Amino acid sequence: MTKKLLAVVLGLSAWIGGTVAATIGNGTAAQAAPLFSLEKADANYTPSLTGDTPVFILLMGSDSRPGVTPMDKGRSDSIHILGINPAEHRATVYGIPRDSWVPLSTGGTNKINSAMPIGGPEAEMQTIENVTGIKFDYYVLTGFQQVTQAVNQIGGLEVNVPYSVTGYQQTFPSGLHRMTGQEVLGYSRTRHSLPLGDFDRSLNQGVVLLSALTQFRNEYAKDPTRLYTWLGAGLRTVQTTVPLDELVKLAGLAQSIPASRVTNLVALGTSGMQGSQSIVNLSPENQQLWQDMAQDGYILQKDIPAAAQPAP
Amino acid sequence: MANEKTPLRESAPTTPERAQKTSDRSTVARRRAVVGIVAILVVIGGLWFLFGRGKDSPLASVINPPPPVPTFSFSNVVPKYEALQAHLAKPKLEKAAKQISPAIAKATTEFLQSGYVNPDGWGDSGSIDGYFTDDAKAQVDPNVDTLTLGKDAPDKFDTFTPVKKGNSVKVTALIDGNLNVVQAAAVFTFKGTAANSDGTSSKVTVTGTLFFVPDGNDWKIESFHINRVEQPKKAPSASASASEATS
Repeated sequence: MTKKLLAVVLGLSAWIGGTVAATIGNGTAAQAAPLFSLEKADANYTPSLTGDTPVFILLMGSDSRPGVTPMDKGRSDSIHILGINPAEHRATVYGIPRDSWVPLSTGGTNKINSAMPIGGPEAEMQTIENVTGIKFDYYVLTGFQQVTQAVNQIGGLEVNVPYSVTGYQQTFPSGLHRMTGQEVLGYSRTRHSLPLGDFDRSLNQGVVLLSALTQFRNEYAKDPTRLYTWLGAGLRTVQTTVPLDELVKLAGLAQSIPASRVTNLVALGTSGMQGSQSIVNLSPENQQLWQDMAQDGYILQKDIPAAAQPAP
Repeated sequence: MANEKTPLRESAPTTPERAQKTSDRSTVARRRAVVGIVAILVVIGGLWFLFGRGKDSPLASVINPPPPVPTFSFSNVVPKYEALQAHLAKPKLEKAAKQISPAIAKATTEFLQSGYVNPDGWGDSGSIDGYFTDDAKAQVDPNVDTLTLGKDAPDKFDTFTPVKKGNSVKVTALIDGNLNVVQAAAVFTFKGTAANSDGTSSKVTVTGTLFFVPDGNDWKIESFHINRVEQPKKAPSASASASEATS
């Protein structure tokens, strides 16, 4: 009887003790827990170009004036080869001076920008393919007024000016500048005050393209619907053969290519005269670089001869 | 002779039949014991299966049926547009955007209904992958924890109740030169409360952008950017309840 009573007392004690301990334990845990905590989760997917095959796009800027000449019948005063390697997330912007003296696809030899007035963007593209050996997948053509409109429609462009440039109407000190469309155009057209003239101008146009890449990446990361703003602003103002779904995938690919993985260079050459015309004789060294670019879509900075490096 | 003890009664002679009978009896007894134990285990297992698994029990749904899955709709749908060609008439663009907005809002609603509101869709990529393009489908499973309430949601919650007001979607239509909507983006805010019968709950806010492309008569998600924030609220502890009761 005594043993049974002892067992009951011990059992009750254990139960009460356990309950009290558990209660204290819970109370302690409750006190230690924060008043509230936030749990976050993210999911992101953007379709992107993939694969080892490089993509080449010819970027052209026409000198046509609205109401005077159609955009695709002007001279292509700005010429850039954009090569992209989707697999390696690298790209290269290779500028070609407009005064480069080359055989034209339309016949004869002349300045490289003079094929478009004769045969349109396709003739210009064919001329540059013949000169460089690079086969283009697409072209994009814009003009003075169109660049201005596009930049204004995206709300301005933040350009990282590498060195002070005195333009036609204003000076652009080195550093980051939020430019209007007109300012971007002014910066991109400035040539006379630059040490290497047309070569440096072409390089500065590459700077504008890289600034656009950086700004698009930043805006898209904050608000993906900015993709539509950029697509709209772009497609309303350019003439292009890039289909919309490919543009969307290129925009997706741009998310994985920071400006630091894009090489900006301009073709090597020397200034000369052809009759009364000031021309550029392209250097044979370009051939090696173009071959390199044709293979995988890009050129590494270390492979560029010093003469083609950006100005300080 | 008188001193001779009466011999003890000899035990019954052990015949082979008797030995066999004794052996049979013990075998039967053992079998009965085994059958009894098995029967008890089966009964205990059965009772546990029927009553002991809480909400997973088959009878639980009969005795305590789950609440009906609520439905929701966006209280605020804002149509916008982006034209891909210059000089298109603004009223025509607005009309095209307004016409497409309900379809995009509906597709967004159905996606969230399947992944968040309906508990059957929690953590289940199969319940939502029909809303995605073929390319995007491959990304559903790796992101199922955010595209739905999550794989662990069934362990934490029983229901998800969307808020009555405050869910909004802004639809931007991408319109080509023929006034066709070639793509559309839905920027949404979706709020609700995920709750467990033990009193645990979380306020859930899902925000994001879904990019839709046409697929026959449907719109499929080609691209997504979704962010979810949960603010958990613990069930009141026993001690807290006791102190509340005494105060």
